[in-house]
Amino acid sequence: MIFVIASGGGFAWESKQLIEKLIDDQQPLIVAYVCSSYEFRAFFHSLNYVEYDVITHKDGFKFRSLVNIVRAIWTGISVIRKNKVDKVVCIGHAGAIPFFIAAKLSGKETIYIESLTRTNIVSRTARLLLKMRLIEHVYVQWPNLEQLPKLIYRGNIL
Amino acid sequence: MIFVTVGSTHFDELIKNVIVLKERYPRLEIVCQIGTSNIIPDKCQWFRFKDTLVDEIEEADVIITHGGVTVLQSLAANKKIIAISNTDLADDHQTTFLSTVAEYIHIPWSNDPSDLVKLYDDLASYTFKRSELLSNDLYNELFK
Repeated sequence: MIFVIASGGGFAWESKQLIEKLIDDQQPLIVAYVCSSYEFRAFFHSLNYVEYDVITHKDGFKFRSLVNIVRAIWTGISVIRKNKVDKVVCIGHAGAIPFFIAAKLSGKETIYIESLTRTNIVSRTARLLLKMRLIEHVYVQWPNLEQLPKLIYRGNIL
Repeated sequence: MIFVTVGSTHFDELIKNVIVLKERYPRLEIVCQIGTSNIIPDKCQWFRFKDTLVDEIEEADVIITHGGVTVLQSLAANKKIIAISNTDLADDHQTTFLSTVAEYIHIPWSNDPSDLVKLYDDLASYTFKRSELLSNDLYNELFK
């Protein structure tokens, strides 16, 4: 079972690209949508889905509160246990952090794919996830980024 | 129809120059997704957000977009685009994104919204051929 952490803005489209591939491939999946934004809401609602509004994207993507993060970690642990999740996956956004903490506490694999919009430096989220040891490496989607340590290029999700 | 999209934030400078484009070519049908922008293009159709922009992208002949993933979404739909980076966003990543995309696909783009009319006038000189860069290898490695 794959647990995809999806967010708003451009990340929603990138997450949708990945989810559609997983559906085509008949991979069992559950999706958490972590941002109260508008993109593809009907698509995400049609999935095996939990909504957890941990991020706001007014004036940039920000966490709502510390309490909210703690609740997201608890939600993540519950979802992972209940659905027997093997991998927790996120493309490009900070909503990954509480859910990756939940994955690590549950002994599950975490996969972080940097956004296609990041072409020469990785995001603060990627750097923070590495620093917190919530991921071993970052999958980047542009070849020039691979020259940096802990960044791996194997194509893109399009 | 020309579809303009600024993404999930605001991009007043782009909307200002869309108004200039409309004044220059009054017969152009322009539909704008303006996000949280403060400037309203009242001579055009406009809205702030929609659940999905798939229909607008599908119906458009040309898409004027900020430097976000709509660039790739539009190219994937085989559309002509003009991309303008919103330089106010984190790390000015839209400018670096567009310059990287332009290394692989010849697209009209700028980090100066006042270039919009000139880029529109030059549109015929671009072919918008998709690059072989796009691949499924990452998906196959992670999930197969």
